[in-house]
Amino acid sequence: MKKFGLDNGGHKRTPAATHLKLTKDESGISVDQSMYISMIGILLYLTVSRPDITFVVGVCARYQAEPKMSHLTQVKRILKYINNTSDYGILYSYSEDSKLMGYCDANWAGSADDRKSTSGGYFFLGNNLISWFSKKHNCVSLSTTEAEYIATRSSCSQLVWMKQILKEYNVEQDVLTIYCDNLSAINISKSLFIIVEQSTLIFDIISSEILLKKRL
Amino acid sequence: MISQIYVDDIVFGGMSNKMVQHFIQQMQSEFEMSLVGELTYFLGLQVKQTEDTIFIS
Repeated sequence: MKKFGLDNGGHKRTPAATHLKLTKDESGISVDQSMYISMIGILLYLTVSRPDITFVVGVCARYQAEPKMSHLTQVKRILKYINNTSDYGILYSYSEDSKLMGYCDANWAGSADDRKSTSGGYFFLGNNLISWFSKKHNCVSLSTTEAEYIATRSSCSQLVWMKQILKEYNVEQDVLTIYCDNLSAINISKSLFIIVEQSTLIFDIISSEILLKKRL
Repeated sequence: MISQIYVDDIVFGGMSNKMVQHFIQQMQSEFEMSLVGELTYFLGLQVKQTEDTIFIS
């Protein structure tokens, strides 16, 4: 905080306004880029242990190429929030239950510059948060369903990966659960899973046929 | 017993005390390293351990 002259600055109770709308702000006043990048660097390192700022730091990090006054104000707000909440952390408690669960969500056209959405996901093992992400999509979603489906899909692959790594530690998982708050996205996922199941079935049949031929 | 190694930092823990002691002994005889005791700081993360919870900040 001292480094950026914010050691006697105010405190903030939240890292950003509720409806954060940052844009490229091409007509805005330019600010010192190296200082901005250094602030982002510090904050990105913090996101490893602070899920509460992951999204907003990610948004601010998009404007490192041409930082403007509006971006710097937002970054300073995050720093003030951190200053106020430096005792926050993650509590891991003992629990018998070690079921993997994922929660995901997405905003729609969250980026005002290119209308791309951002998805986020949180993953729990029992009652302990062990992993999270916030990532802007690579493509433009035309509906909330599309955006939510992309979030569900990436959460799903994360969960499957975590299931594999837990298997290495002898923690077997039965059914993986993902919570998604969009009914259409859930239905799309369900129908696609059926297709995937069918195709693996076909693949199994084909490969067993090949095996049989080889044996013959 | 689980041991996690990141470059020159090692964290380990286990259910069997005998196994853990054996691991410490082996590591100390094989490599030039010292045991710094209970985990309080790892990769820039502060770790507080209590009876049945772990707090990371």
